[in-house]
Amino acid sequence: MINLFIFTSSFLSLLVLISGASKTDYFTSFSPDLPLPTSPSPTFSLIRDSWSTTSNIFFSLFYLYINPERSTTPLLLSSHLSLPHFLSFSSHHIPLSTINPFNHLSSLFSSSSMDRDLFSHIDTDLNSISYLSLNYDHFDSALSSIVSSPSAAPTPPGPNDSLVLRELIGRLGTICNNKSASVGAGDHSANTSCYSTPLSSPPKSSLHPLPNMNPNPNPMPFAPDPGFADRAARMPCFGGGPHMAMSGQLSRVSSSQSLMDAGMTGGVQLEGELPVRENGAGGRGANNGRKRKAGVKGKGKEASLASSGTVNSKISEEDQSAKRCRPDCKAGEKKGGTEEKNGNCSENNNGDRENKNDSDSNNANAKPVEPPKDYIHVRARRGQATDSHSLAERVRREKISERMKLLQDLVPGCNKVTGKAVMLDEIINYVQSLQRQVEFLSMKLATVNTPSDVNMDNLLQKDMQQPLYRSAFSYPNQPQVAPLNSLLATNSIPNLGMQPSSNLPFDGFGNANPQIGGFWEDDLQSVVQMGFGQNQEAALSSQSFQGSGPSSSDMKIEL
Amino acid sequence: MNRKNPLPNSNPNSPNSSMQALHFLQALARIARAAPKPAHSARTRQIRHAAYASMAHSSRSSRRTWSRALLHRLRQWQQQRPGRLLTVRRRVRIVTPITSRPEEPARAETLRQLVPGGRGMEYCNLLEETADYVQCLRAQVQLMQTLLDAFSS
Repeated sequence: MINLFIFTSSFLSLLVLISGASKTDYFTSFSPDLPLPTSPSPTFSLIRDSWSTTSNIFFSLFYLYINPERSTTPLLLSSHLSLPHFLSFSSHHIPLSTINPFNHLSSLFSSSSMDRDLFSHIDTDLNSISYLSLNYDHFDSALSSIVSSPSAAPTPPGPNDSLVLRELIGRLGTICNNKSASVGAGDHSANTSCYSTPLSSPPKSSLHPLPNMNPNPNPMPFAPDPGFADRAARMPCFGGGPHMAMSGQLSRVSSSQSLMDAGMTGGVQLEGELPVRENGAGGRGANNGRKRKAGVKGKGKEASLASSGTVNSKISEEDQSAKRCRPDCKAGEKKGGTEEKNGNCSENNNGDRENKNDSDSNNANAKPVEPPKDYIHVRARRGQATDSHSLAERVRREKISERMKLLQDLVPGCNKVTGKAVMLDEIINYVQSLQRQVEFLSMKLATVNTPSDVNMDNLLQKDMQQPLYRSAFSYPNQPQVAPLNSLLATNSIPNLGMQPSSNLPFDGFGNANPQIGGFWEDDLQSVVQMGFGQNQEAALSSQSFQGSGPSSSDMKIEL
Repeated sequence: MNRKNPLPNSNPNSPNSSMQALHFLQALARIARAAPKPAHSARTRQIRHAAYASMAHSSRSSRRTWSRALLHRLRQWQQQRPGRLLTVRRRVRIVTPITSRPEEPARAETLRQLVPGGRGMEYCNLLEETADYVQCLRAQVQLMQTLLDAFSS
C-alpha cells in the first residue's frame, strides 16, 4: 500500500514538475475531494478534466509500473482509458454487466485499498470511473489549461509540455488497445483480430503524430478507439438506442472518420495507425453496415463520440451536437442546423458506407430516416442526394404508396397481396381483363342488339325502368334513370306509347343530355310510373318488351 | 388539374355513371338506328368505340388525362375505320425517357400501354390515372352487362 502511495505521489510530483509550481496548486485544490460530476458546465468539466486527467495519468502509469507483466493491467488501463470516450457523453448509467473490465478495475482498486479519493470513487461506483474517464477525454484541454493558465476556458492543444504526457498516454493507449482488443471484445473476436494486427505496430507510431497533433485540424481518434468503441457500442445509454456490437464497430470506424472530418481538434492522434485500423475494420464494417437497418444513426453517433472523444477539446460540443443531431436526424433531416450537425447526422447515417474512403462529412445521406417500408427497395446512394432531394423523394414515395393503396381498394383480390410489384401485376391483369370484357360485351351487344326500332324502344323503356339500373349497378342508378325519365316526361307522355318509332325519344335524349344530371328520385318515380304505364298501354309488338314488362314491374316493386 | 382528385368518386348519386350510361345508350341507339346494317365485326367495333366514348365523356373523367387520350385514340380509330386496315399509329413521343425511370417497377411500362395517355405521365400520376380509369372501365362493363341481360331476358 505504501508503495502505491509512493508511486502516486511520485507521479504527482512529476506532473507538478512538468506543469509548473503554479499548477500544483491547481491540482491540490482540485484533487482531494472532487465531487462527482453532476452538471456539465464547462468550467466544472474543465476542473474535472484536469483532475481526472491527472488521476488517469497516474493510474495508468502506476499500474504499468507495478504490474508490467500482468495482462489485466493493460486491460484495465484500456478499459479505463476507453471509458472516457463514450462515458463522457453518457448519463453515467453504465450497466455493470457490460463493463467487465471496469469491474475488474474497481476490484483492483479496492484490493489495493488505496484510501485516496480517486480510488474510492472508482471502488464505489462506475460513475466515478466514468467520471474519471470523462476527465480523461478532456486531458488535452486540461493540460493546456494547466499549462497555460488556470482559466476555465478550454484551449486548443497547448505547448510541448503536454506532449510527453501525451506520448505516455498514447503508448498506454496502444498497449491497452492491443490487450483490450484481444481480451475485451469477447463478442467481437473477428474485430479484435482485425484491430490487433494494425495495433501490433503501434507504440512507436503513437509517438509520431504527437508533435503534429497540435495544429492538426483533423485529429485522429485516439488509439484505444476500437476497444473503446466496442464498449461504447455496448453501452445502452449511448445514443439512446439498442445497438449491436457489430454496428458499434462499424459506426466506430465511420464515426471516427466523421468526427475527423467534422473538425475535432486536439487529442492524441495516431494518424499512422488509424487509417490502417479503419481500413482493416472498414471492409468488414461496410459489409456489416449494409445489413444494418435503420438504426444506424444512433449507433453511428455513439461510436463516433466514443472514438473521437478520447482526447478532444470539443467533446462537449460534440456531445451537444450529437444530441442535437440525433433528434434532428430522427426528425428527418431538417435543412437547417449547423453544418457540423448535418455532417454528423449524415455521417452517422452513412457510417457503414463511409468506411470505404475518407469522404467529406457533409455528404448527405440519401435516405437516412426513411420509413421502414421504403427501406426495402430504396438504396441510399452516396453523395447523390442532398437533403432537399431526399425529402422530395420521400414525399414522392409516400404519394406513390398512397395511390397504390387506392388501387388496392379498387382492384378486387388485392387485399392479401403485399408488395408493389405483385400488386402492380394484379392491377395490370385487372385492367387487361376489364378491357377484354368490354370487347366481349360489345361483341355480344352487336349480336343481340338487332337494329330495329322496337329494340330501340325497348332499350329506351328499359332505361326508363329504374330497377334495371339499380340492380345492375353497384351504386344506385337513380340519377341515371332520372334523366331518362325526365326526358320522357318532358317529351310528353303521349309520345311514349304511341309511336313505335324510337326517333323522338332519342332525340329527346340527345337534347336533354347535358341538363339531366340532377333529377331527383321522387320526380323520377312518378315519371317512371307514368312512363311505365304509358309503355305498357302502348301497343308494342316486340317480344322483348313484353318479356321485359313483367320483369320491369317486378323489379319496380322491389324499389 | 388532374392531381387534385386522387380518390375516385364512389358516391352513388354522382352523375358520373348517369352521364356515362346515357352517352352509351345514345351511341347504342345511334348504332342500332344505322340503316344499312353493318357487318358483325363492324358493329362490334362501333359498339366498342361507343363504350370508350361514353367512358371518356363521363363527368368524372372529363378532367382526366386518360379521357382526353382515349378520345384522341378513338378519333384515330374512327378515321381509319372506313374501308381501311386498322393501322394503329403511335405518335413518336419525345417524353420516352420519362417512361423508363429507375424508380419505377418493371411493369410500369405495361401499365402505360394499357392506360390511355400513360406514356407521358410520371409514375405517380400514372397510378392515379389508372385508378380512375379502372373505375370508369368497371362502370362501363357493368353497364354493358346490364344492357345485355336486359336485352337477352
